[in-house]
Amino acid sequence: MTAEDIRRIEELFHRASNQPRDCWEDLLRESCPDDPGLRQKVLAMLEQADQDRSFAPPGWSAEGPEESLGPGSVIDRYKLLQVIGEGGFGTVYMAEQQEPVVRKVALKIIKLGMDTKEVVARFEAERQALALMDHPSIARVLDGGATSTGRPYFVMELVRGVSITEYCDQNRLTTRERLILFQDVCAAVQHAHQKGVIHRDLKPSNVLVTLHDGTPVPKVIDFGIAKAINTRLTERTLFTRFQQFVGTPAYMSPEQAEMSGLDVDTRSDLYSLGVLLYELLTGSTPFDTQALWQAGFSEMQRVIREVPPERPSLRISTSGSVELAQRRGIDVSGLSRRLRGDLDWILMKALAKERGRRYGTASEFAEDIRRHLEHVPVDASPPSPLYRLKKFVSRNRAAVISSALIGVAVLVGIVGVTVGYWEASAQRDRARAEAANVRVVTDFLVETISLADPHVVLNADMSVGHLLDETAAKIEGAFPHQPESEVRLRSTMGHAYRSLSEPELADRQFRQAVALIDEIGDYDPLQFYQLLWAQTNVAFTLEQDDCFAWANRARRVGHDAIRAGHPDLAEVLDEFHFAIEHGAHGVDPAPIQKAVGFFEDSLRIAEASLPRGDPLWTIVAETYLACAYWLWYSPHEPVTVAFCSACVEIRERELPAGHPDIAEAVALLVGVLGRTGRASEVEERIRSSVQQLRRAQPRGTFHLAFVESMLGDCLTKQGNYAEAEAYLLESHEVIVKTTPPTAFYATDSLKRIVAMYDAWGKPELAESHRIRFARSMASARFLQPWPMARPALGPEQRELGDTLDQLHQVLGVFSYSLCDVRSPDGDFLEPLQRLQRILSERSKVPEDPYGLLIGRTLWNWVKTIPLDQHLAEIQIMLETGLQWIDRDAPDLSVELCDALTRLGLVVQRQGDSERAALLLDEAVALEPAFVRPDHWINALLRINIGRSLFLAGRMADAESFLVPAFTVFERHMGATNPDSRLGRTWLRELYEATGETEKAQALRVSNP
Amino acid sequence: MTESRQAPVSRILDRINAGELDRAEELLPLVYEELRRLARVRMEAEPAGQTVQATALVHEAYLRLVGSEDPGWNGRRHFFGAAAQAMRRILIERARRKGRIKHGGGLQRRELDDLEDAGCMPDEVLIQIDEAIGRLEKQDPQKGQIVNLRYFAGLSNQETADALGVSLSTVERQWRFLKAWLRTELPDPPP
Repeated sequence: MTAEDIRRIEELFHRASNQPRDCWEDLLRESCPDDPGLRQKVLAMLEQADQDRSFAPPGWSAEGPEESLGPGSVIDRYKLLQVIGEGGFGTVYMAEQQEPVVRKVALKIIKLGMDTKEVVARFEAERQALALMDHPSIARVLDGGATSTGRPYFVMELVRGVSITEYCDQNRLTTRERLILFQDVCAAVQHAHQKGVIHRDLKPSNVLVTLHDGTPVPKVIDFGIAKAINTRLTERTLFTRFQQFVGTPAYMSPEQAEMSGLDVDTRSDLYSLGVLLYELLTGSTPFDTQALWQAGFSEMQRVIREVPPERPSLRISTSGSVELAQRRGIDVSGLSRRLRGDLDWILMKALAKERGRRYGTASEFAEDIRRHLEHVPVDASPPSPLYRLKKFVSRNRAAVISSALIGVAVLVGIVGVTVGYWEASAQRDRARAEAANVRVVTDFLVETISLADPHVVLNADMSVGHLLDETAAKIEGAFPHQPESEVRLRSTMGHAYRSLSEPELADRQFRQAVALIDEIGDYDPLQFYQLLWAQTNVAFTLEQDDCFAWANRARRVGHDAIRAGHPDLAEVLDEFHFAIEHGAHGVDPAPIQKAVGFFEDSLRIAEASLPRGDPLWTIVAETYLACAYWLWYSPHEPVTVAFCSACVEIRERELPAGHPDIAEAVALLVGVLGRTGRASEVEERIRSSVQQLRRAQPRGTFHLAFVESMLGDCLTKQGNYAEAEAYLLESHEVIVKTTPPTAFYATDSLKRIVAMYDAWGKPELAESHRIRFARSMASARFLQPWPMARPALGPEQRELGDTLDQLHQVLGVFSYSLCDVRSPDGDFLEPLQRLQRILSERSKVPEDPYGLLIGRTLWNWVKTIPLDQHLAEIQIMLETGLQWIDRDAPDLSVELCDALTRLGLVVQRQGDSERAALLLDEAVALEPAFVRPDHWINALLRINIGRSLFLAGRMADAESFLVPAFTVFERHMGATNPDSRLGRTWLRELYEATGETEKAQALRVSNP
Repeated sequence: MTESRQAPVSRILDRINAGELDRAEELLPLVYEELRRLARVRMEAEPAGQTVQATALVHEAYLRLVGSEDPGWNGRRHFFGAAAQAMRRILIERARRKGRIKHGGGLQRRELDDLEDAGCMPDEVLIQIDEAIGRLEKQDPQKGQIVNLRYFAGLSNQETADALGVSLSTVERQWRFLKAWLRTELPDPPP
C-alpha cells in the first residue's frame, strides 16, 4: 500500500465518519468510483469504528475497564444514573443510593493511573475531619471506596447548580454582588480550615451556585478529594499530579506548582480563592490556562512561581471587552476604575507568591472585602495616609465640607501621625473652642482635600508626598493675619513629613512654625513643647548642628509647662536631667546614683499629682527617654533600663496603640537589655510594637525600621537567625535611605547584622558586613566608644582586637566631654608596643579597611588623657593614629587638627620646640577647611584645640579657636552644661594670661 | 533513585534540549532496559491474572530515569517517544517468546523467564498489530508514533498529544482512524 493510498483512505474515513451510517456507501461510491478494494477497506474500518470497543494489548489494561462502567452499573450500594460531569480526575455520575435511604447523590469515579489502595487509605484518614464539616456552603462528602475494577470513587451530596463564574455571568451580577457571593465562599473555606480540612483544588467547577428560595447559595464541592488523590508529591504521584495539572494549573498556588514537597497548607487554598475572585471580577484567571500549558511544564512552574499577576484593573483596561463589562452591568472603563485601588490590592495580597504575605485566613480575606464594601480602609492596602484620607472623605463627605472640626480631624488624618486622634473627645472640645481660629485652616484644607474627591480618579503615583508638597506651597502667604493657624498647619505638616521619614522637609516646617511662635510671643506651652520635641528628634536624626539646642529649648518649655501647675514636679525633673547630663560620660557612679534618686522622686510626684490622660505625662516620659539617650553609651545599664521602662509604661498608657513614640521607647529598652543578654524579656513587646506600627505607618519609614532592627537583634540573641536576618536586612535598607550617611543608625544596624551572622555561624557573610560596619563606624561623625566598635574586628583580627581591648581597659572610657579627662589606670606601654608591631605588619596591606577606625580610636583615647605625663606613650599613640586619619577627608579636618595640636603640645613638652612649632602651624592652617564648624561636636573639638594651643603658649591662635567655638557651643548646649562651664574657665585663663583682665572678670561673674 | 542511574538519561535529555542531538537513539537502550526491569518486577508483584498498566510502567520508568528534575518540554517528548518504542519492543518480544515456547522452542527458556509470570497466552494478535503498524509507519511515521504512545505505552490522548506536540483533537481523530485501520488489518480481530 502506497502513501497515497493511505492518505486517500484516511480522508475518506474522516469524511464519512461525520455522516450517518446509511450515507456511507453513497459517499464512498461518489468519491471513489474506480477502486472497490479501497472502498471495501474504508467501509470495514467505519464499521469497526462505529463499534468502537476497547482496544488494548491483551493482559494490559491500557483503557479497558474505563469503558465498562456507565449508567446502570451498580457500585456497592449506588446505582449510576447519568453522567453529570467529566474532569481531570474522572467522571461524575448522578447516582442513586439504595440503602439505608434512597436518595440521589453525586458519585465521582477516579481515572486510572492512581494507586487505589493509597487513595482509599488517605480518604479513610481524612474521613473523620470531613465528617466534622457542617456548613450550608459545603457539599458533604458521604462515602468513598473502590469499584470492583479497582478504581477509587467518592460519594458526595448532590448539588444541582452551575459553576460560580457561570452563575455570575448568566445573571449579570455586578461587582458588588459578586463580592458578596464570594464572601460566602470564603466563609465555607474558613469553616473547613477550622476543621482541619484543606481543599487543595479550589476552582470555579468546584464552587457551584444553587438557588435557595431565590437566593444564590454557593456550594463548595470535592473537599477532601484532592488530598486523598494526591498528598505530598512523591515519585509515584508526580504523574497523576501532572495530569491533574493539565486541568487546573491556573488555580494552583506557587507552592503547589513547585512540587517541592513543601507542605501545602491553608494559604494555598487562599491563593486559589484569590484566583477565583480574580476570575469573577475580571473574567479571566491571572494566567491563561491554555498559555500555561503550551509553555511546557517547567515554564509553567516558573510563571506560577515568579511572574507577578497583572493588576485586575489593568487587565480590564488592556483586554476587557464590552461584553465582559456588560455582564457586570458596567462599561469597560467603569469596571477598570471599580477594580483600581482596594480590589487591586486585595487581589494582589491574596495572590502573593510568598504565602506569608497572603491573607492568614479565609475570614481575613472576607473581612477585607467587607471593609472595601463599607468604604473602610482595607488591610491589603499600602497604608498610605492619602488612601486613608480618601476613605475617610468618602465615608464623611458631607461632614468634611460642612464641619470645621472634621476639617482639622482630616488634616490630622492625612498624616496618620496620631491615629485615632480625632476620636479623642478632648481634642474635639479644644478644636471647638478654637473654631474661629481654625476656619482659615479649614477653608484651605477643603481645597486640598478636594484632590481626594472620590469622583476624581487619582493617579496611582499620586502620593501623600505630593499632597503635602502642594499644601506646603500653598501655605506661603496664605495666612497674613492668622499666624496661629499657620503655626498649627505647619506643625501638622511637619509631623506628617516626619512620620513619612522626610526629616528635611519636616525640619523646614517645624523651623518656620517655631519662628512664627517666636514672633507671636505667646503660645500654648504644651503644643509648643510637642513641636519642639518633634523638631529635636528631627535635628538628631539629621545630626544637625543645633540638635542639642533644640533639646534644651524643648526641655525648658516643657519645664515651664509643668511648672505652671506642678512646680515641685518641674523642679525634681530638672534636677534629674541636670544630674544625668553631668554624670553621663563619667565613670564615676556618684552623679548617676544621685540622678536615680531624683528619678524615683519625680515618678512618685507625677503619680500623685498628674491624673491619667494629662498631656503633661508625655513631657515626663520624654524626660526619662532623653536621659536614657544620654546614658546610651555609658556603662550604667540597669539605670538606663529603669528610665526606658518608665517611659514605655507611660507612653503605652497615655498614647494610642501603634503610636511611633511607644515603639521608639520599646526599641530603646530592647537595645539596652540586649547588651546584658536580657533581650528575650521584651521580645513579645517589641513584636507587638512592630505589628502595631506596621498597621499605623507606611512601610519604609525610619521609625518602623529602627524598631524592626531592634527586633532583629533581639531574635539574634535567641538564636532565631533566619527571622532575625529578614528583619535586619530589610530594616537596614530603610535606615540607610532615611538617615544621613554619617549618622550612627546605619552603623548600629550593620553591627547588628554582623552579630547575627557571627552567631549564626556564617563567617563569610559576617566578614563582608563587618568591613562595611568598620568603614561606616570609622566615617561616622560621632565616633562611638571602643566597646561599640569592637565587633568590627572579627576572629581574624583577634590579636589586634585584644590589644585594643587591653589599651581601652588601661585608658578608661571614651568621652566627648572635656570634663572627663583622667589619668591612665596602669601601664600602657606594653600593649601599645604590641599594637605598634601589629600595625607595622598591617601597613603593608593597602587600603586597610580597619585603618581609619584604629586611627580615630587612638586619637579618641588620647583626648581623655591629661597631657602632663606619659608623654612618650601619648606621642606614640598620636603618631600611630595620625598615619590613618586621612588628611584628604574634609569631614575629619577638625579631628586631624586636634590630633596635630596635641602632638605639637606633647612634642614641645618633651623639648622639641622646632617640630612643635611646625605641627602647630600645620594644625592652625587647617582651620579654614573645617566642615560644619557650628556643629556642637566640632565646636567642642575647637575648644579643645584652643586649650592645647593655649598650653603650648600660642595665645593668639588659642583665642581664634576658643572664642568663636565657645560661643557656638554655649548657644547649643546652654550655659549650665558642664563643658560650657569648663570652656568658660579656659577662656578666662586665656584672658588672664594675655592681661585682658576685664574680659576675664566678666567671664568670672557670668559663670553660673 | 540513585544519581548514577538517572544521570545518563538526564544527560542525554540535556543534550537533546541543547540541540546537540536531534534524535533519541541513545535514549532508547537505557529506557528499554529500565522498562524491562520494571515490567518484570511489577508482574512478580501482581497476583496472577491481574493486568499491568503500561502507562504506570512508563511513568515509573520516567521517574526512575529522569527524576523530579523536569527535563523540559523537548526532553519529555523524546523520553516518551523512546519509552513508547521500547514498550512496543518489550511486548512484542514477550509475545514472540511465548509463541516460541508454545511451539517447542525450549532452547531459549532461560532467557525468557523475565516475563513468564504474566499468566497470559502468547499473543499472535500483538505480533500482527506490530506488523500492521510496521507497514503503516513506513509511509507515515507519525501514525506509528501515535500507536506506540497510545497503544503500547498506554498514554492518554492528552499525553499523546503533548508528547507529539500536536493538538488533542488531532490525536483523537487519528486514533479513531488507526484503531479502525488496525482492526481491519488483522486476520483475527482483537477482542
